[in-house]
Amino acid sequence: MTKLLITNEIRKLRFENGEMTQKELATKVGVTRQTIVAIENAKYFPTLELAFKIAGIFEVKVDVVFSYNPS
Amino acid sequence: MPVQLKSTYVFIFTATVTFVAYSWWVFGVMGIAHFTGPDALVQIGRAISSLIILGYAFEICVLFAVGIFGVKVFKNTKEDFTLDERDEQIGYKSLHYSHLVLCSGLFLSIGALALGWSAFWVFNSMVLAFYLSVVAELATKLFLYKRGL
Repeated sequence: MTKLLITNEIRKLRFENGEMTQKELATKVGVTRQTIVAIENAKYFPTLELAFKIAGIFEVKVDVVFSYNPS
Repeated sequence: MPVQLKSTYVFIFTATVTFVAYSWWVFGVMGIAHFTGPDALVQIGRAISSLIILGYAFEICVLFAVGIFGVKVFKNTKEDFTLDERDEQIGYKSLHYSHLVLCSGLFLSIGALALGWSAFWVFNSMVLAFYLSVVAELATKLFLYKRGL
């Protein structure tokens, strides 16, 4: 059986963008800090809309933020 | 601790207090004998109506009190009470499990009625199913908030 795995670079991108805090990112994309924490730890996979919003904040494409790695 | 998690604990508290109070009133104070005879269904209806009205009133009062306490003491802001997409998905998933438990309980109650149980025990098994569905919903919420969705 194929296990889906989506990884993300949010933590790295936050630090590359002026050490943005999780709270700041959460406020900018309109979610709670707990949701950003859950996404960073791969405990929650965001909707496409939120994924695009996060990529938009870092001014990169979605596939820079999120990677799909089927194992 | 996020507000959503706190409110889940508050709901567990209010649901447990409400159903313990109901059980104490029906089985302790009134007694099973009160719910037998020609007026049995009326008495059961009154007890369950009281459970619903007083239960919701108690829950609303406690939630308001906890909300005001959170704003005054923990300086919670409007943002803390805002639900985002993850909260909504956790809510849907918990409702799914709650629904399964409630439906199973209701079908078992109907089965018990077919087996000849008295109206009193059938109604109370439905109340128990309702309580267990609330517990299933809140337990799922706690699990998903802690472990992740």
